[in-house]
Amino acid sequence: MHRRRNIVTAIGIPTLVVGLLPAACAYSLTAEIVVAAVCLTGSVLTGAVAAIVVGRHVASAQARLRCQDLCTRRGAGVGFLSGIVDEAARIVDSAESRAADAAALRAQFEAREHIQNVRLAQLEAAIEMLRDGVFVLDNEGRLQLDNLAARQLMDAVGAAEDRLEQLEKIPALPKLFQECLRKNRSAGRQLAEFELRVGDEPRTFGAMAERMPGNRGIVMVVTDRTETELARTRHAEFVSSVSHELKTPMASIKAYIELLMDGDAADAEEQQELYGFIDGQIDRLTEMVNEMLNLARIESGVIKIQREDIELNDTLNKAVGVVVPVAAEKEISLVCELSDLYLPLHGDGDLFSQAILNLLSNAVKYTPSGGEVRIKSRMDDDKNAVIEIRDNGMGIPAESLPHIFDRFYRVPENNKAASGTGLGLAFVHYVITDIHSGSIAVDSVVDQGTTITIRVALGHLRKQKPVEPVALSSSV
Amino acid sequence: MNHRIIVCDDDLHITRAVSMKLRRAGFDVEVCRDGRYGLEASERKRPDLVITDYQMPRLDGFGLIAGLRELPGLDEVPVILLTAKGYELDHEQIKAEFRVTEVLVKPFSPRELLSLVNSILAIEAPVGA
Repeated sequence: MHRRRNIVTAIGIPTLVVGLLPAACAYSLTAEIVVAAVCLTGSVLTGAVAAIVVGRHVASAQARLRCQDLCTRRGAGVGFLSGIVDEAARIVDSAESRAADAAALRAQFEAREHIQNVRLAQLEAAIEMLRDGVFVLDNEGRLQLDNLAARQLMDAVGAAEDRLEQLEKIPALPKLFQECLRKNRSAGRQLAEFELRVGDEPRTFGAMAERMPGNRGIVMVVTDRTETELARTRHAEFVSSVSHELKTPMASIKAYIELLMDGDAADAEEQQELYGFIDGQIDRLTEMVNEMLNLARIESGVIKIQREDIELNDTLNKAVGVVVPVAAEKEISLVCELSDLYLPLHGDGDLFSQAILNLLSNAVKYTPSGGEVRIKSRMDDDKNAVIEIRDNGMGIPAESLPHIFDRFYRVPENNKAASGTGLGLAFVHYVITDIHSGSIAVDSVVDQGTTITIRVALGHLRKQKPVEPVALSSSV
Repeated sequence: MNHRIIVCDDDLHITRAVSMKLRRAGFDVEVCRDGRYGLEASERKRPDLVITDYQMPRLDGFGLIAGLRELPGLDEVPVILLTAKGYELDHEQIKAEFRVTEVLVKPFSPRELLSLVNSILAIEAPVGA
């Protein structure tokens, strides 16, 4: 209100003056007076226009107030002018400080954007590296994001026009996507499983999909479950074979005890024989449980290794001694061709002996009646000993050879022939290679037999022995 | 005449214990250490009953039973299957498919085995058994 009145005043007065000019000319006022009047009018008019224009652009209450303030200062024209100049300076200052604020804000924004870009790059790198395949699709099913694992999965189905077409070649995935789309976010994750040949191998996959918050699309994650499934199957087989292994001696003990209780033994001599068998079976049970515990301890890294200076042939003989009766019972000839030389070893005699026993037991187990098992030892150059265990039994099929030292692995053909835990060879491998830094190799032909060759470094720690000590790993 | 029973198991302690129990009860027992020997023994002289383990080398329990069922005059021979595999095997399915009279899970009781043998061969339980 005030502004309008003052604007009218500010414009009206000079206009009037200008309007009086022709009258002035008519009344022959001097040219100088006319020019001065025009100049004055011009400056007042300019000032007023400037005040209006600036006031309109600086749309702040403060500026408007000042303008009002200014307009109400109906003092001398000079005061009015300096007021305008002051106000212009204030406006410029304010604009400058706002520009400085804006610059600071922009700098802040750029810094934040930089941080976010770094963060984004980190996230993208992390997602790219994940073992699981990650797919992000929009609600129309268009692929927005994928990582390396996802692309590898898609490539496994073969080439196609585009990624989406590849994705569709794995039917479980579009189906999962549709499932997720149908439901809303509160329904949670949708799951699926499928199999796919990757290279030559059939592999098992698990997939899960979930709606993104804000209805931005769907995230799918695909995990290769093949190893887990395999481990689970092997473990289940292990549990089954362990319980079978334990049941066998238990069955003998149960049967004999009952016979004794029922007085079925023919005489005291037979009674004693049965007691002896029971005792033997309990020993066998104990051994079996210890084998399992040993391996469990190895797995958890708790096994105590006791290294000392031992003689290798002594260790081998100990194992042979245990197997002799078992071989005899099965009418298998056990041939010992141990070296005449003193073979010094710095190692754990008990564990080494146990490992050799496992190998000899296997040889006897998988050789039919009338067959032969041979154990040899010799010095190979003066640094290493070689131990060879050879049988002419069932042999191991070629496809099983790479796996025989795997924990719980049992050659499928053997399952019906004989029982076993699948732990024996895993234990042997650990003792020979990890504990004694040796090597173990297997040669086998089905129905012809198997040869196991062990190489281990010789040497005692004690300086008295003439053989140079070999640097073996120190006691755990 | 005594009933003839063939006992097959690669576990010599089991065959020893079972044969002791059955011989004491008056049966004529032949022991075999695998399914192949068991089949040969059955062909040589027809048994009245076969007691066999499941897991054996060369020819397992199922193989032996299948072989028996193909031999003339032997397809009706009652069979008792011994096995350490308890819940892993479907006993009812085995009994139906192989015409096995009973499945005994190891460890088993020789007394129970004898009682089963007697009932299969429809023999009155002798006093004291």
